[in-house]
Amino acid sequence: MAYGGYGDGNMNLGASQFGGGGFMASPAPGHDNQYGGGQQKGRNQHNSLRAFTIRHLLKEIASVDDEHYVADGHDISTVTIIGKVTSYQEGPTRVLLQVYDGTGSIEVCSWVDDMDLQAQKRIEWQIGKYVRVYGNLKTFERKRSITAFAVKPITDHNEVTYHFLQSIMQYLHLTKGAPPMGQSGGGATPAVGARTAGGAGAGLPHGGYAVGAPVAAGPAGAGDIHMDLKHLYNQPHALQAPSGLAVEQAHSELRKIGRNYTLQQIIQACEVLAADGVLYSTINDMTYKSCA
Amino acid sequence: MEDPTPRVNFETMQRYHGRKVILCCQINQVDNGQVRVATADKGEVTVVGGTAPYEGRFAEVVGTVLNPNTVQEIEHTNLSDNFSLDMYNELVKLSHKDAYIGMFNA
Repeated sequence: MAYGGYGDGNMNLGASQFGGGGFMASPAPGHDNQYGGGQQKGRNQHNSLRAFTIRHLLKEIASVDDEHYVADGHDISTVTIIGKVTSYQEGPTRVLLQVYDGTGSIEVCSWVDDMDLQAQKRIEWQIGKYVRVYGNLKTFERKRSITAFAVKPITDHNEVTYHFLQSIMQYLHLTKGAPPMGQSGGGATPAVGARTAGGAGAGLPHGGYAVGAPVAAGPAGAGDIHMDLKHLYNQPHALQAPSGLAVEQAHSELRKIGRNYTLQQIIQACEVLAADGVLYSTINDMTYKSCA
Repeated sequence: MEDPTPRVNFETMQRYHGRKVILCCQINQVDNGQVRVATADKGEVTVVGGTAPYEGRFAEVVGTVLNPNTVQEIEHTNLSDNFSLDMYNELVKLSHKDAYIGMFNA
């Protein structure tokens, strides 16, 4: 299962990885981001991974049926929460945890069929310890729970802070659009309360952004980065170049036409387009060519 | 569902007199069952009633606010030594905003 930019196949999302962590900013709510599913086409549709507070999971999400849920207008598939273990129950093939994160409490079911593994889990998932859970939301007899496929103990507690900040950031991204990062001044009005200090931690926009104004409708220079890159990489000179265009070249060419994206935005957007099969990398990870 | 327990700093702690809160803090002094801590926004609080040992520089205290400067501990968790109180402080401020009440209900 692909988790987009939020972790490798082993789901090693330690706090040291939250500097960037593969967050792919997108211009419109839910568009082409890998935690707002349901509006994407292709293989990413059912592979979204989203961070939630437990209260958000329990109270604010609508269920289509016992296995399909919608949050902030987008389908959700895999969820991740962080919380303290408040209860631990072992069964022959599974472990039942109760996890509390300060906003709410939810049952987590983890299937463990190896006795040695179960003994190890007994140590790692102690009551009072923080854990990160990856899994799918389920409803049984009107009670929501998570069926987990990974439960990891937290060793760096900045990850706890980061998770909540990430939950806020993803909520805002899906409901209000990507923040206009790299703005040179212009018209983006910082929303009162939405702006945070520079030390706000990973995942939050560096500048403010207008509440309720998706970036697509925002000030000049924002635009749709994915559309712009698709257009650029399908230009004759890019198609004819043996290795395509390096991200620095793309950055420079977009700036010439008034698209003031940062290099980091372009790198991330190219990675999204490569994951979607629009671009492919050629001589190195920073040079792409259109698949067209 | 267990009731929400707000994450607080010194300033927001004042809204929860008599209520259970989660306070992440830096340990300044441990003294005969009382622990003097610095909150994320540089306030000073005394934590009383704890029994488990405090280890390291930072702790997350779950307790009841007794008065503006005192928390009665229910339990605490020792945090990693690289814990960022500044980042936590920003989270506390955000979690108290009306816009995110559905996520935190602080």
